[in-house]
Amino acid sequence: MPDEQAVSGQVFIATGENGLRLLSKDGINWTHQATDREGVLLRHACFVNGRCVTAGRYGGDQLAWTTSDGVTWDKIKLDGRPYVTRVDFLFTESDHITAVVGEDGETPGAMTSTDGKTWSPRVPMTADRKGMKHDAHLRRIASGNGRLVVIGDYGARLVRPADSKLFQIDQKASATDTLIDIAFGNGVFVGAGLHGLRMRSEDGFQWTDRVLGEEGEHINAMVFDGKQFVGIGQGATYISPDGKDWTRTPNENAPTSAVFGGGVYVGTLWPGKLLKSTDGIAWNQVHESPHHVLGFAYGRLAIDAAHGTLGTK
Amino acid sequence: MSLTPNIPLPRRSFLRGAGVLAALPFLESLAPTIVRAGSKIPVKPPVRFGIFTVTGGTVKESWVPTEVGPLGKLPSILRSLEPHKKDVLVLSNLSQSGNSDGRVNAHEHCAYVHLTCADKVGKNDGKPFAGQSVDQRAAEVLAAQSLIPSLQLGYSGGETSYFFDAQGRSLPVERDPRLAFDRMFQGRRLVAPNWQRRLTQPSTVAVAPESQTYERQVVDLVLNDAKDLQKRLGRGDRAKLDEFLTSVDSIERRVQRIQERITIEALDLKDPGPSNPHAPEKLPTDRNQSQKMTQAVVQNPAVHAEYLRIMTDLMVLAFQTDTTRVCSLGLGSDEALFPGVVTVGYEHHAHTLEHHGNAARVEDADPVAREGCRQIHAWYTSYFAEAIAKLRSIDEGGTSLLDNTLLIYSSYMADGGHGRNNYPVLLAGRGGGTVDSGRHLAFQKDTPVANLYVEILDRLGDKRGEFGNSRTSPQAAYDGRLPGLGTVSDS
Repeated sequence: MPDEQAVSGQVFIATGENGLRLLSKDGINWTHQATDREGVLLRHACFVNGRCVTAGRYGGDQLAWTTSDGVTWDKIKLDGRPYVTRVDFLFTESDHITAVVGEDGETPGAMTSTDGKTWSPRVPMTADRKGMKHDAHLRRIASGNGRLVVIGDYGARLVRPADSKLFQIDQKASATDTLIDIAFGNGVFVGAGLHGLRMRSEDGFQWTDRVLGEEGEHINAMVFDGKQFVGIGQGATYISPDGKDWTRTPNENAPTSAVFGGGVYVGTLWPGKLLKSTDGIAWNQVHESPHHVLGFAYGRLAIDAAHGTLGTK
Repeated sequence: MSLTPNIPLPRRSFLRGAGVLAALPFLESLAPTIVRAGSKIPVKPPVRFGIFTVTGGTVKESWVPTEVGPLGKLPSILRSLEPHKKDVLVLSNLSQSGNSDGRVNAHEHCAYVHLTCADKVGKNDGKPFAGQSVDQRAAEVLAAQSLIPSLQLGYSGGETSYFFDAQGRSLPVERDPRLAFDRMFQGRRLVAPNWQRRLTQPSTVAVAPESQTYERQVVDLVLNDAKDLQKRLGRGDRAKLDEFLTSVDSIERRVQRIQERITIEALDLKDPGPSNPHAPEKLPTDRNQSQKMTQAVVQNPAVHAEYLRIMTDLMVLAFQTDTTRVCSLGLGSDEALFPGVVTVGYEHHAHTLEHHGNAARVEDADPVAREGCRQIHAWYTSYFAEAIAKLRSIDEGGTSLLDNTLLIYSSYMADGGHGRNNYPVLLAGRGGGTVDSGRHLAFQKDTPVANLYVEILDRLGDKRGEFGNSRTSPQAAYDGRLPGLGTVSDS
């Protein structure tokens, strides 16, 4: 059975409803489909130290599932208050992965792990206990210029400067300019949002060059492909090398969530459609999974010493 | 041509006078329109009253037209109604002012006042109470003419209970489309009424005693026995027996209606009306399939969409076949997920979007969530637009079913933040020529929603001129009425 072969190297992972997990080396052929109980929602994915870590929830529990070969998964429950604690997203920083954890009315926290199996206790991400809107979720992160910039609901923007372990909340940020996704490249952060909203910043605090697109052209994904920013909107793709000068090209069948890796754009459309594009403009469906896809990541799987082999499980 | 108002006939005395003959003239005497036989004037079938109400509040700036008067380009949530603009009347600045007893949550508060406009709602021993809902008042008015006085279909219930009887008790809603269909058509053929014949050519067909239904004969036997027994009972037992007889009386009336209807529909089958009623295309074939569909509604928008279509089709079918003249759809769910409908951001859960997407000030809301709410309500409206198109397509003999219907489109909350001010509401249909559509009417701020219900009830024949808090609300306005909806003839 080909899907029982361990996978190594650079791969895309798609995660979703009912514990859905799928892998692809090229964004076209999706293999190693696995599912779990109805109600398991795997919303996030990330890679660290040759492992893929996914996170989500089942009922009131927060989950972290991890694999090094795409075949064998370790499944653990994260500490937290049932139905209250939630994982907002995952990100990788050097040799560890961080789960950003939220609770309504609480300061956002961080839990870290080097393998997705063992996690540190939760610590506050910011000293500003009142800076967050009561029920704002944090959504995305980008790293560059020695700093981390996080965006979230109600226009939330948090910045962790190079010389700090804590994030600072940008109190000037307004809900009107809520960003849905953010990317870093060519020395700038570029964020995007509703109706083709785009803005750029060098430090995460000062945002300039605000432009809007056409009504309804919501940009759900902003990626940097190594040369330019590509904002994938509903109806149009916006491309810019610097976040200032943009070209707008109508797109078709654009996904509502997308990631870039290995020269390929991969996205999803409900229900469970996996799309591939070479330019972020023309999208083709390449696979239909049995459940909806909620999260994507691109990264590297490697030999897992615990399992002993690179080959067949 | 004018409408003939409903004439309240004492039913029992009528029945007694009619003896054992099934009373076909009974319906004719109550018919709202008289057209001379042979006249070229289109018949005016009776007015039906429908409610299509959805969950979750809405996004008002994308719902309410900015201009009053003739409808121009519709706001984005109503955009799918563009082809039906001439058939809708958008109303704004209507609010609820009813208080709660503090034992209900914000959703329940909004739900209980939604169609009752009660001064106070709450719970007694955990059971909701409110005033009578407008659909039930309408059903009461039209009961004598309806095979089924009213239908409540859809997904509402629990926190979103909208329908209350005359005692203010919450009424159940049929969620299962197969059961709803079977309730309407078990043992009946689907046939369009021939309104021309029903209204202009009184039938002389009588129902002979031997052709009475088995149920009728059983009821008569029970009544005769009970009356004999009553003479021999003490006071306490007589009271109990009276209660029992009241129940039997209700059954008796229902049996009578069925019997009359069987006769009328037998004539319709021989000479039906111009339209061709049929079961909803994707109606589940059995109970099991129907239950599976109902359970999947909140999880899967594709199933949800199918469900909306089927339930809407059932309402249209109920009106088309004159199964009932009052049908309410409590649709949607705050717990529903909307992936693929909401194409922005990361959240697809309606309730979460409602809470994040609303705030005291629009600029304080999360705009992505607000856009998600807008997309959900634009989606709901697209199915309402389909309902209008279906009603419009049904010919009732020179007028369409839509011409003869008053159909409310609204939401139980004015916005996702449990708001009760400035409800989004529109009326589709012409109500038998009593509503001038194609406009947006903006009333004085916080005019009671109850005033709208008074107008609707008036057009259905209820001339009491009050409903809910239409006269008792602190914001009472326009003498409890809504001016300018259209002309109601009293002749």
